[in-house]
Amino acid sequence: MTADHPWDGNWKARMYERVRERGYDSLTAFAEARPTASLVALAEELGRDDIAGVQIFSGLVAEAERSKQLTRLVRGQCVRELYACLPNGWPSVLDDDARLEVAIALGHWFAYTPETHKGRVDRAGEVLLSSPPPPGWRPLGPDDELLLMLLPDEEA
Amino acid sequence: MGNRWWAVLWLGLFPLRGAAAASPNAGVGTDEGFVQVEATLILDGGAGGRAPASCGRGRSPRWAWGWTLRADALVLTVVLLATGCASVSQVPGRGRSLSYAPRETSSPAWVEAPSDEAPHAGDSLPRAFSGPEQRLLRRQGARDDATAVGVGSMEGAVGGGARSAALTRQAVLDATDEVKGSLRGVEASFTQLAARPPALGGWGLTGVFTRYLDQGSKQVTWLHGALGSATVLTKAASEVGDTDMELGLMRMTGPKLQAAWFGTLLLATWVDFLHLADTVLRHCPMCSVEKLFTDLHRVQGLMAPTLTDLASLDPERVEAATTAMPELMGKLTREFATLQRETRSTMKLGGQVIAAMQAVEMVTMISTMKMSLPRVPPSASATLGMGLLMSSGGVMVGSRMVVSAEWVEMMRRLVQAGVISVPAVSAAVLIQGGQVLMAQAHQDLPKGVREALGDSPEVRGMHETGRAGAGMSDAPKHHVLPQEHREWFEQRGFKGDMDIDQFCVRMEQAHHEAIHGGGNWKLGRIWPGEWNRRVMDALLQAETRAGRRLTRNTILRIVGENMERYYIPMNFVPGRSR
Repeated sequence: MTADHPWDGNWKARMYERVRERGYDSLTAFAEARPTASLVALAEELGRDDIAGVQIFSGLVAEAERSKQLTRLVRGQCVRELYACLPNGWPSVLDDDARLEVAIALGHWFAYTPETHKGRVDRAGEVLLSSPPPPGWRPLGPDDELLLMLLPDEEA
Repeated sequence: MGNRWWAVLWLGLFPLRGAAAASPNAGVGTDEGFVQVEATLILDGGAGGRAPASCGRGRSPRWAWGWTLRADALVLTVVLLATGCASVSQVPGRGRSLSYAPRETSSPAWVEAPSDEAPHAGDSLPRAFSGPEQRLLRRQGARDDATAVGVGSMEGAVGGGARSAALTRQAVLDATDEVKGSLRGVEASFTQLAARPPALGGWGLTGVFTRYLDQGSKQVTWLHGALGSATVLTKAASEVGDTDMELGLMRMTGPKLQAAWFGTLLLATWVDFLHLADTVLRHCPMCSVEKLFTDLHRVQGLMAPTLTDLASLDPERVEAATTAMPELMGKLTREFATLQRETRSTMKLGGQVIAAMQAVEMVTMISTMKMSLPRVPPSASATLGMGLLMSSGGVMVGSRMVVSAEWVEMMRRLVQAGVISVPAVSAAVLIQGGQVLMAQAHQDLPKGVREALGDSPEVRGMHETGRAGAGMSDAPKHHVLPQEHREWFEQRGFKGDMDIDQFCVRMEQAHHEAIHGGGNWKLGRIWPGEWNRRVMDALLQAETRAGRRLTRNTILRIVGENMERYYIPMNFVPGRSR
């Protein structure tokens, strides 16, 4: 099943078909196997021309809601955004340029956070800038210690 | 195979051309006729102020319609007579090619070539691929290959996208620069025509005819505006630091560049008519002034709708007008030829001196329409029915080079980046090649030439989903930067040529609904994926965390990254404000 455009046809069915083809039983499993990949990179792997990054995100949110793993997903998204904007990890000196890069990453993270968690992400961003992590900090997955401290799981 | 076709064409050309043009030596670069014209113009330059060779425009590609060659017809006539260039009337179409063919050292700006308008060499140099840009390039390299909108798809590897963007930017700058140069030439011609003292008896473009001069000068204003916008956008593109967005911004220059390009061409053609009228008024006392006035009025009427469409700078209107240009140029050429023929017979009737006759011929010699005008004396047009052919040196008609390989290369870049459409470039080549007398709208170039100009299914597809295609041109436009935050964007530099109304995209209704979280699928409402909300969340949060106002470039970068996530191609069209 292919389409000319990500927004054509039943993209949800298309996306899950590709996930299964790659040997995963959920989108979350597929995405967690690539913890630092961007949404766009994940979309490209599933369908270069007929899957979009936001569709992946939407699917991930739907699955996380069902499995009550939303906070974990939010941490996972933080990893993806930081990895893209700060490939060398947290800057050692937070000058204007470095701070802008951090700010852009935090902005994307906030925008790609479900409504229920926006408040927590907003505070987490504030904390990261007021008491910065060690230089070079680069979380590689949702189980990163510092991230877990910042955004512990609440779901039972 | 190409060679054989070439030979057939060349032989076919023979009986139609004067011996000089058809001699084996008449190929590109060795055409003595070319040299003659050039020499003549240098002589003229002594009086008329030809620009020195080093007039600050260092690059070689010359991309201009050679109306700048136009000089005072009478002076030229005298010079021609003095140098004994009797055969000059058979020189094949050197009028445009002089400035068009890049290997020539001649500058097109002889009439007036201020060096202070040198190209923005500094802006146009490829930027060092380091720092944040490098990161972006790495991130976006892959998508460049994937999306139909990036030239990256043509250039391949990671980083190729940025290099390619730099080359595209250079091509846009070159193209803008060339149109500017041509426009300066046209302006100078207007000034010159207006400043000419009336001949004995008060003849010249005075009295009722001044309106025709004014008409032309008025067009110059919007042409400058369009070129100014294109320059602003190119500058913004060079600063944005995001390959996809840079290409998106450069594509926004397309309609403006295209409008200015063809507008200038039409204006140059109008100058030809005015030159002819001026010559008629001065040298043909027996010609009817009333008829001339009416003729010019009719020609003006032919041009007016196209000029209006071009001046609108609306992508679709500009594209439609451009595609119809060869046909219009055909009509104008016929008008010009008729006017000239009538003048000639009236002069014969009145027993005019040879100098006066020569003056009329000279107007043809230097005309923008030279390539398509019938030979003198009237006979079948030499270029009628003759094919265009791609050679290593450029596009040829028979043995004559129509456009240079460098011009083709520049156009290829612009076409592949989606700045200029294939139909627009085709129209330009058809006009340049004199293939206008039988031109119909949507006439295609031969396959070889089209391919050299960068035509490919991908490029066609890009335009169909982009600004110019048939399929998408009805799809509704949507603001990418949310309109309810217009003021916020204004405060951050989205004003004038860069206001938020310039950043609209065409989107199928179904896609639009899907993106805004509507549509008829269930997952749509689960996540608050409403575009406006998401973009503003990202922007406002980034600004808060940065602790200072975001710049326009940062905003474009953030928005561009979101467009990528939503699979929205960066084909911006101007839209209407609410």
